[in-house]
Amino acid sequence: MKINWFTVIAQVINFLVLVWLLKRFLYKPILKATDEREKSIVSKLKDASAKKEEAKKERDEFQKKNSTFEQEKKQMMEKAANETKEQSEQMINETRKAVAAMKEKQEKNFRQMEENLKKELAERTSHEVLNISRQVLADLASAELEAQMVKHFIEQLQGMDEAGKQAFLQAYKNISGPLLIRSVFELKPEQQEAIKNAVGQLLNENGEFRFETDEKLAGGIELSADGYKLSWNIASYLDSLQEKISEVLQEQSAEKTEKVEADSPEEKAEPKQIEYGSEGPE
Amino acid sequence: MKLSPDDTIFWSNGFININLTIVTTWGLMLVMVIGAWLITRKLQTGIKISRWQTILEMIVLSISSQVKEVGMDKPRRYIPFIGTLFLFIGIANLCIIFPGYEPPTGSLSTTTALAISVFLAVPFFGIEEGGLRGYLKTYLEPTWLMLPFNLIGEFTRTLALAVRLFGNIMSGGMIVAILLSIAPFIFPVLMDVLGLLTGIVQAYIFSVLATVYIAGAVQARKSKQKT
Repeated sequence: MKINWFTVIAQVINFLVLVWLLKRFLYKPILKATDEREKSIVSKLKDASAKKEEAKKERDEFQKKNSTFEQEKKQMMEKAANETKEQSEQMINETRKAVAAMKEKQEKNFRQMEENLKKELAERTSHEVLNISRQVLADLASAELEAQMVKHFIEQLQGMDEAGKQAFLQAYKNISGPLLIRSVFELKPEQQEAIKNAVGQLLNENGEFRFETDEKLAGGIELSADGYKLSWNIASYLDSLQEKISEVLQEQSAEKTEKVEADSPEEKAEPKQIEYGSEGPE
Repeated sequence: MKLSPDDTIFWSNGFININLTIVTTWGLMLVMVIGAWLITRKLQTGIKISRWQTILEMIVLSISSQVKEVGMDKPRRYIPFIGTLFLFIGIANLCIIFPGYEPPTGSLSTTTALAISVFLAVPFFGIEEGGLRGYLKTYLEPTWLMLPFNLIGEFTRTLALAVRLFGNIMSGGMIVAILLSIAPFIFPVLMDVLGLLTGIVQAYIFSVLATVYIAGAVQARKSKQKT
């Protein structure tokens, strides 16, 4: 058991060489590799955490935006719903008003038509009555009746009041031709003479006369001079009757129009003019 | 019966002689360096690495953590020395599974050489860390009266380091040789298994003790600096 000193020295050198070689080929590269890996892992972790942070931030932002968007959406939806409701209510109201107006207008028109119809009916009736009366009287006209008429006409001339006389005189002055006396039948000479006398008395002079026949008179005698007209005939009675009927009808329709206008004041802008075909005396 | 591989001499010329210890050491060095080079020439720094690289990294990092556990705060500076001690002794001892192999650690010359290396490394690292004066002062700690004892301690522990490793490995080889002559089957195998264990344990003990000695030299200076 001895120590070989050459071997010891050789082993020391061997060992130191081995230390250097292993340092060169083992420890340095391995430690370098682990260091690099560690660095890369650390950087990757850092990166990952940064990315995570960023992702979280983005997520938060997204959530925030999302909630804001939801809120805005809700608000807008509510607003739209309210507006729609208001609009629909307004439209319904307008439609109701329009319907009511149309209804009223229709009713008014209907009433108007009814009135017109009534009026027309009344006028026709009166017209027919008058025509029948005229026809009857014309059929009944005879010499006897004629004589009575002339008699009555003369009585009327004689019984004329002062105002009538003045009007007649005025009219007479204005005419240039003869006084026109019309009758249904041709007057007999003595009848013509009687009339002449009566008028002469009224005028205090003998005027010129022209006698004509007119079948439309429906029995009676008429004296006319420059718009002045003195007559006795059945037609004039009938005419005055027709005039009265017309007056009554006009009054009635005027009342009704006033009533309708009071019921619908908004339609005053365009009131329906009711035209009454009035047939007054000539 | 040869107790030491030193006795197997291949070539001799006066003081110089090439014996089995030196040749085996060269062989081990060759294997270790080539192996390390083969593995580390294509190291990967990514997440995916080769199996061999994983093993080497594990070994190197384990050594690093062991050094750190002893109390060195800069393990990288000592890894080449301590790591090589561990790997050389460990591999030299593990190779006993090959028939006809005689571990160089079974030679007192080798263990002495390693112990001398540690003996020289302690002041080397101590001076490197704290300067010559700082290192020499550690021998006067806690008082100058302790100087002779410190010096004796320095030498004896080196001797103990050398003899411990030599005795353990040599005895292991001896016992296997004796048992082979008594009971050639089974028992030598069991003793070899035991030898593998003691070989690794010895490598560990040797390198940890070396670390402790170096740490003692480095840390004494450091603790003084702190106070």
